[in-house]
Amino acid sequence: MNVLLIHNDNLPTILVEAFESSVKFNIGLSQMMQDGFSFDRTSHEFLEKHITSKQFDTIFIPYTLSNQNYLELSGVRLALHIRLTPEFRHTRVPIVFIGHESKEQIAKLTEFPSFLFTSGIFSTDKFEYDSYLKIYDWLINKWKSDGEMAELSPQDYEGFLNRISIDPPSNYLSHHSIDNELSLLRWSEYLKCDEDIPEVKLNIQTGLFFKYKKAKNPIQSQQPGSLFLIEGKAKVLLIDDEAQKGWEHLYRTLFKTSPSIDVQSLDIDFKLNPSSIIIEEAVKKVERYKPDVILLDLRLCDSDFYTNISIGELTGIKILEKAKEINRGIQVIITTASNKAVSFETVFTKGANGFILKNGDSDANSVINSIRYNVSNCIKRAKVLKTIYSSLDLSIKKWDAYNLPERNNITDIFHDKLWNVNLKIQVKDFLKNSFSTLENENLAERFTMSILLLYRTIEMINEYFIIESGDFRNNTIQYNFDIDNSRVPKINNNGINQNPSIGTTLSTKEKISAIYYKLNGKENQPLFDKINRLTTYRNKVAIHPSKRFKEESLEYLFDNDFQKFNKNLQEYFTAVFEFMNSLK
Amino acid sequence: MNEIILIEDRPGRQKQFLDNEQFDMLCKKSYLNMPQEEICRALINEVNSNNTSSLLRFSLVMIHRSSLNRNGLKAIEDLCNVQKMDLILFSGGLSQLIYAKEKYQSLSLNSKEFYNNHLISFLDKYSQEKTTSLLELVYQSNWKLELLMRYRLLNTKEMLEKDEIVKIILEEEMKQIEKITKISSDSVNSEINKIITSL
Repeated sequence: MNVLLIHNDNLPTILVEAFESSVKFNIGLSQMMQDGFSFDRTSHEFLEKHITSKQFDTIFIPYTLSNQNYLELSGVRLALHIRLTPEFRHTRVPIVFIGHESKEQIAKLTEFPSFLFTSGIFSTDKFEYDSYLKIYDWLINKWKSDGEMAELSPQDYEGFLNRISIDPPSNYLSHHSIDNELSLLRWSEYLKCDEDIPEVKLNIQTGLFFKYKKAKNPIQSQQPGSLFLIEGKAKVLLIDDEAQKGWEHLYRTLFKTSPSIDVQSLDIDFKLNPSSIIIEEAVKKVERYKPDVILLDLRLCDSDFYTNISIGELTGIKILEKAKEINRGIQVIITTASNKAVSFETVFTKGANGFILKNGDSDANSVINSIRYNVSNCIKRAKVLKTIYSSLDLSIKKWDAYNLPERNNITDIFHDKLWNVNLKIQVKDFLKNSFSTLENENLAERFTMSILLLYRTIEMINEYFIIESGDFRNNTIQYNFDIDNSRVPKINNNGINQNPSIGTTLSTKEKISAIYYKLNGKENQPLFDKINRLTTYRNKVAIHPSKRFKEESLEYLFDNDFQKFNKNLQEYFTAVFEFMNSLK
Repeated sequence: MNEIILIEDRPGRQKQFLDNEQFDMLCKKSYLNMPQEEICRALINEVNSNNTSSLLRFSLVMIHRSSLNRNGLKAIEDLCNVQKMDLILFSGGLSQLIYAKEKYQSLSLNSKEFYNNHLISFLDKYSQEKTTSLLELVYQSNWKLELLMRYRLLNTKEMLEKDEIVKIILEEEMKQIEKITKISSDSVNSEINKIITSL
């Protein structure tokens, strides 16, 4: 009889001794108190050792393998390991449970009742070896039709999988946690760094739930991927409660061929701290580290897993909002496991700049490429937006504090005594909109549109400080300062003409130079040069776009010469901020 | 009165399994010590540094297994062994309930099974020294079913056993169960069937 008996000295000695192959499975206090103990892991290792290299026709197991708690019914769980682990090479073997109870009675006591009624599961309440010989004979010769192997057919096995149900352990608080762990392993395998996360690997390899999940949804095998280079110096901050479990290591591996990328993670005990402390620590870290990109998980503490929690209450969403308050230019990529409650659209309306779904069944190659695209793109964006936002924030604060004098002369029907109040609001609005336009990747010409809005702010300031009268068409135009009605000088590369003749027109850049000169009592050639280049861009590329100037457009430079693009864009914004903040 | 300590370092997790009313009730139990936040962390640090002196006065220690490192597990094991204390280890990652009473009585189970609706009544009974087995926490009044089923298997084993010494050991074990269950071997089958049918 080519069978195996698994027991724990809880069967009659005479019966155990009659079996040619029998093996004792004992989990007692000493195993239970070992660091890292898990029943599934111990079961896996036991079966791997005792059945993988053999080929038994039938396996006999008592319902329970404990001598101190019959209701443990650990034999049933062990049998499921045999059915669900292809590496053991016994997934289709008939299994006979031993016990005084009927399958119906055990079904009332085990957490896997339906398993008992799947094909290839038998039970016996006999304890004499002769009875087992008869069972074996029947199984080999009569269970299946002539010519069929005495094992589960593919259809039987499919039926078994459809019939059973195995829940994840309760430390997997939701489907989120399961996908989190599965994707960590798959992506690590892809990056060839899975050996560095032995706990996760072992957990997924040996856990009964993961074996069941794998059998139900087989994952296509994947080829290990190659590493890649992300250009540019950048700081990436990882905020993930599972960072230490392996995510930090995975991202470090991902960026290790890009030495100029510095990766840090928020080092805090997420499990022991409430949401408020995690947010507080995250804010401190963002302020201190000044990351370009944040890779942010949404569910970071136990309370994020409450079933009635709304998206806005999630710790990750609150950190996203705080990070954007610190600097809107920081790019935040949400990295979350699949969950119906968190939709793609919702996180983007909250200010996120990227979204990476941790899905245990996903194709690692496409996910890793998506991370690459997301991170590279966000680093580029952060380089542009972070600096501009810092200057913008500072300039707006100075602008808010600036006591803009009331306009003395109201010369048109569009303005009134509150012009100074309105101008302060309008300038702020245009600046903010100019920044928002820069951020908006849905706009094909977002950089040029942003420059037009930016340029409008200096035009508004010019209109406020300088009274324009007459008409340039009949050479009667003239310009006076509103402050004292004095003539506006014409300042350009040829020098200062304090008293230009009537009919002499002034360009926007000349007006700016004149206002600066009037309020500061001196010229500012570098500022004038910057404004000059901004005006040239505005006139040549933005207002009169043509193929001739295509290669000078910010959109073209962004794709083809990022350094020049960034230098030009920063200069255009700096010119406006410098001018605004020079007003006294 | 038996004093009990519950060491849970993840209050958020606790609140997932217990409602506010149950949690408040636990807090009010005079026999139960349930350290919170900083005190809880300090106590766990002590245990993980091999210092279990704060636990000496308790009859039952219930502790979140994942909060213990290798040292802590050893310290708890030594403590329970020497003091003959009862021990319950719970954790979200434990997939299979395991009960042992080799040197001392211990139960290892999933957090979800531990924080069940009968936890408070079990602790009440335990504090009043009215429990016999830690399994009562999980199986409540049906824990006797465990004894009967085990008794039935021991009986079969004993009947077929040829070694006289082993026979005596088995008989002794059966007698102990008979003492608790007060059921004769003739009525075991019918009693088991009755209980299972009632489930």
